[in-house]
Amino acid sequence: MTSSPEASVETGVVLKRLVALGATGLGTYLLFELRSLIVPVLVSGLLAYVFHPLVTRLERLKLPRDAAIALLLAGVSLAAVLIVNGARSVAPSEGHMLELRVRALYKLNTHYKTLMGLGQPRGNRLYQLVGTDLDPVLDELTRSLALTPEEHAQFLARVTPLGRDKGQSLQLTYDQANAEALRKRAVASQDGPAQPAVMTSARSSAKPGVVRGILSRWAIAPLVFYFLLRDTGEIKRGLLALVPNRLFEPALNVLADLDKALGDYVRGVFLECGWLGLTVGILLTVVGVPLHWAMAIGIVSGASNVIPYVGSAIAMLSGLGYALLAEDFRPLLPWVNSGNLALWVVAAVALAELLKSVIYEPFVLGGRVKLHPLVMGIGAVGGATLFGPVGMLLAIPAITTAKVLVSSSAKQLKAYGLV
Amino acid sequence: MDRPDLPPKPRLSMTGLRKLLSPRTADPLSASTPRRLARALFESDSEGSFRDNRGGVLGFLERVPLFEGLGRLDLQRVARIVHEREYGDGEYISREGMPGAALFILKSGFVEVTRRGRDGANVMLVTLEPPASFEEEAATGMNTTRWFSTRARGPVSVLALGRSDLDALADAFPPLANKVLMRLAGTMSTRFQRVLDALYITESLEAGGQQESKS
Repeated sequence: MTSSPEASVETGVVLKRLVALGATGLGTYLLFELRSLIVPVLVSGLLAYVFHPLVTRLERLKLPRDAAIALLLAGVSLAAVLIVNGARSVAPSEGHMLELRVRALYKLNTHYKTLMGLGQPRGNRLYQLVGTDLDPVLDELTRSLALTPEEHAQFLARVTPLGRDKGQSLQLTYDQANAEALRKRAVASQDGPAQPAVMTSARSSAKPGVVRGILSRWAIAPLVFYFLLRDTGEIKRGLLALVPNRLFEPALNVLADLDKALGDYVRGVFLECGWLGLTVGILLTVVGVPLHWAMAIGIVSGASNVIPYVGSAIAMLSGLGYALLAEDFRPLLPWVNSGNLALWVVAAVALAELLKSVIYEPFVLGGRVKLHPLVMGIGAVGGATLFGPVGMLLAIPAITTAKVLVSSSAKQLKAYGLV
Repeated sequence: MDRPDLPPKPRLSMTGLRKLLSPRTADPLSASTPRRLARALFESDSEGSFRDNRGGVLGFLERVPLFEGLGRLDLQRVARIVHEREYGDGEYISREGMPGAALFILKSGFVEVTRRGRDGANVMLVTLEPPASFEEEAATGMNTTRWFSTRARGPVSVLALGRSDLDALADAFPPLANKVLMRLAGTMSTRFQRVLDALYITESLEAGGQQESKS
């Protein structure tokens, strides 16, 4: 039996389509099954983008590429160790954390009372205006800060034997005041039973299995980071080798656009975040926040600045949190005191945000890819819904990539008469 | 691979150029001025053999005049950024009227350079053989629109060097990129000179012919 050439060509086309369909299905299935690896791979990929020029610069100094990468990895590891050690030295211990929560609850209630004039029977005008809205918020905060019975027992065991010194006896005073405040609030509340002096909320702790899972997923990140830094165009050439000849030049241009936009954006954001973190740290130190706390707040706010306004919001909340808790602080400026520290924190963060908008964004990010704040907001929420906090951080680079990919592809396909 | 029946490869000296452009030549491709100019424009300086494929991309690059004078390390760096592409018989490598994004170096096979005539039909201007290069201006970042098409004649292998690849090379290794760009500029300048020479010789020959017919 013989078949005509047209029939064999048709069979070939059908076969190709089936193979393409199968490959797409398999790719989608693998992507879905391995979705937990997407975030570590993307994070390490973006970090590799940030550090790629550094490796190239080292290579330009006649250093072999592998040696340059090893040097960079050593530097990054050292920085990570220093940051982790710094964070551990700043982070309060479990017992100190209990003291902080007791103090925070006391200060919160005291400041709220003073601000809302709760010494009067019906509060001041401000309370009459916004009290019904703020009371539930305060209740929620109180619930999250109040100690569980086990925690309270731990707190007493920690404080009572040392209750002779001034600081510790102050802690006991705070605790008693908190218990009184909670009792009063419970009595004032018409609904439900009286709230206990300590809360009974169960706080879940991370299971070891979950931590192991996270660690095993993230173990791939250094490998991806290393191989992406080691790449000198093989990935690009591999991708282009898959492209049909008639699409070669458009694809070359699209990849170049993508590389430039993403590289510029990621490096620009990295620099901007670094500058913002440093600015927040310095300004908070100037207004009286201790250096180690100010730098910790600066690092967190800088890192979270990838999402618009979140970095500054975190700096503001952390700074105000410190202002709420601060007892004996030594400001560099003589006119700052515990009464107006919160205002100075707000001013410092506002100044940092202003510097970011006026200097860092135009000079560091420049005319690179700009996204509408609404798109950024929706993207960040979408990223958080799909992949949690890291997804929120990665949403903006992902949207930037998609935007450049679509616009550049359309431009190139049009220029080459393919659409 | 058997070599197709092609016209003899012309020399590059002025004598060779004169011979090439002479109307008395038996070469049918050099029968008209545009073809003569095209041949002058795309002529390669290489005298070596490019039919063997020993040494892969690196071995080939070592013998390409465009990369003459580069050390082995530099050539390795260039080899890391070029794209090797295969074209089937009749397949277009680049098309007239489209923007250029890459320089092509012919590694094996033959490539026809064509241009659309007034009647819309493609006119074959010249056939290129290894290690001819074309589209240098695209690699140098000049946003030019192509004035000719190139099409594979038989199976063809080319190395493509994109503008973005050269940009990346300039970021990573500025002295090397500078050398490559200088060579590209030199190649373009030589071609320009050849076209001018070809025009001058054509006009001289035509003027000579007119005088002969008068006498």
